[in-house]
Amino acid sequence: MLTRTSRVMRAELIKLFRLRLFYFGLVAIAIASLIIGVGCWVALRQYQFEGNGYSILAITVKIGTQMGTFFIVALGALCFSGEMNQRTMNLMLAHPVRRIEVFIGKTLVLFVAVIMINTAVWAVALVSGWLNVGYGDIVINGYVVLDCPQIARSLALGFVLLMPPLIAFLSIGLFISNVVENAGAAVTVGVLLLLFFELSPLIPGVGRLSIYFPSEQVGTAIDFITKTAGGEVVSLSGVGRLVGSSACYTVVLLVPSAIIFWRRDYAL
Amino acid sequence: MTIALETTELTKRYGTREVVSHLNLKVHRGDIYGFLGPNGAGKTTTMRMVVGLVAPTAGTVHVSGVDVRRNFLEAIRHVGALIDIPAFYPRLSAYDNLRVIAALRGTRDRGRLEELLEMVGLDTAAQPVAHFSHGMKQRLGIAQALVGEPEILILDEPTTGLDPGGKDEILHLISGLARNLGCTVILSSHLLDEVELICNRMGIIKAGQLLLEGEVRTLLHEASGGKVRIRVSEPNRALAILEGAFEARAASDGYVEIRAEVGSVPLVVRRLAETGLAVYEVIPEKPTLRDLFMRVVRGSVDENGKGTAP
Repeated sequence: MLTRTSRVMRAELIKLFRLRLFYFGLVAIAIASLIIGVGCWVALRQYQFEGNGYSILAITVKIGTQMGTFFIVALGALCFSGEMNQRTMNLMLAHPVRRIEVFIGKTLVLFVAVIMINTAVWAVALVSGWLNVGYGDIVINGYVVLDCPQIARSLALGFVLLMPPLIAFLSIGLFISNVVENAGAAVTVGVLLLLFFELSPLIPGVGRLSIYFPSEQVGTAIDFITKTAGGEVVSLSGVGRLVGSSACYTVVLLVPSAIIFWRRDYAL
Repeated sequence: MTIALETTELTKRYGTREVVSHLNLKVHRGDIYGFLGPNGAGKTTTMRMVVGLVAPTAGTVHVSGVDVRRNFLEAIRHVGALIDIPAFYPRLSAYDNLRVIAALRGTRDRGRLEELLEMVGLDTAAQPVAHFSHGMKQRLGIAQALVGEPEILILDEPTTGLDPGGKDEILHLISGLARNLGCTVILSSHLLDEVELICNRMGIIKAGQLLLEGEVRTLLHEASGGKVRIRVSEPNRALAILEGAFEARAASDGYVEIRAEVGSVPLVVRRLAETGLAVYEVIPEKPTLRDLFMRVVRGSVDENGKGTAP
């Protein structure tokens, strides 16, 4: 099974790395993040802000991740519906690989894509931060509140913490992709759902539920990064809910997706 | 003769509509098998069931003796398929499209992919498939089906939408594949001329039911009813000589028509010549596949599921 899943992953990687949209998305996120970072740097200088590179990094990660989630949901939503629309799913399934292996292979490659998107955002954020005063110990009133290695460790944890909610977003996209067979409709539904999640705190009656939405978990991870960048020693109290809730989304959405994918007749 | 593909009581129902009904198909190894039927007869659904894209409601499909449902991986290993309109990743080049299939098949031989492109007459240029002509896409579809070096090649309407020149090229390619690579080819089509041209066996399906199956040559001969037209110097005398031994009648155009096995024709000619009649022409009536097809699809199905010409 592992061999066949890895074959599917190889095929998917060939497709992904030949997909202009993927590079376009990565470059767009990178450029936008860089502009945001430089913009913040200029603005902070203007207002004589005593901040440091970490602050810029945190802001860039926050905005870049929010943009990235749209891209991730769209990638997920296109994953199966796109193949069904161009009938290449028939092509994939008429070979000696099981459907479940195709499902797992495709999903794992998108996990890799999510890691790449997150890494691209962080890479740009790190450059943006470095353009400011650079990185060093955080000193407040002459005291070293957090030294550089401590911050680096915390930020690395922040990077890891961002992954579960991003994968939850990907799972939402993948589920939609299996339920809505039309690629354009699947992406639209995914983006609308994402907007709903983002705006849910403002919607009367829904606001209190928003803590269960993956955007809230992204917010928790970003909070962690922002506070670390501000020199706070942050407790990991919200991490359990972040990981647990994201894992729930992932499992609850991916299992039925796999069943739908497995049982479908590819008659079109 | 070993069986390459066999379906037993294969049935597919969508709700109450039976698209394929108790289909018993037999394709021998080395055949170029024409799977004929009008549009909507159930050809593509059958092909999809063969490659596991659609689950049968009942019945089984065996490929090289392996049950497709029970042992899909082993069964499908022997099959290369081009089902319906060929599907590609349009932004990828022909070579990269083949690489995707090769990856799925676990093949890493890049030289083989280049060979395949050369075999179907496509170069390895990096041009995206989206810019390909219809004929080039059909060729690439065949190359895709050949990536895993299949023993059985399923081609579902591979010449659809091609001009006559393009059709000829594809048919030439297909018969070459069967001859040179020893593939068993199943050619699903509603285009009768191409089946008559390259297939040695065929089956005719209508409304999901197999009406007729057998060797193309035999079926065509049987369909003619062994009718032979003879032009002789004295038709009335010839008729009198032949009437006792054969079912014979005088045609309005001066010919004598008899019903005889192909093997009896020399005997007829000798008998007429011995009586001093001059035999100018002997024409065995040869119906086209089109005639046979029209007769069969307009006919009925007997209790054994075999076609009966009206």
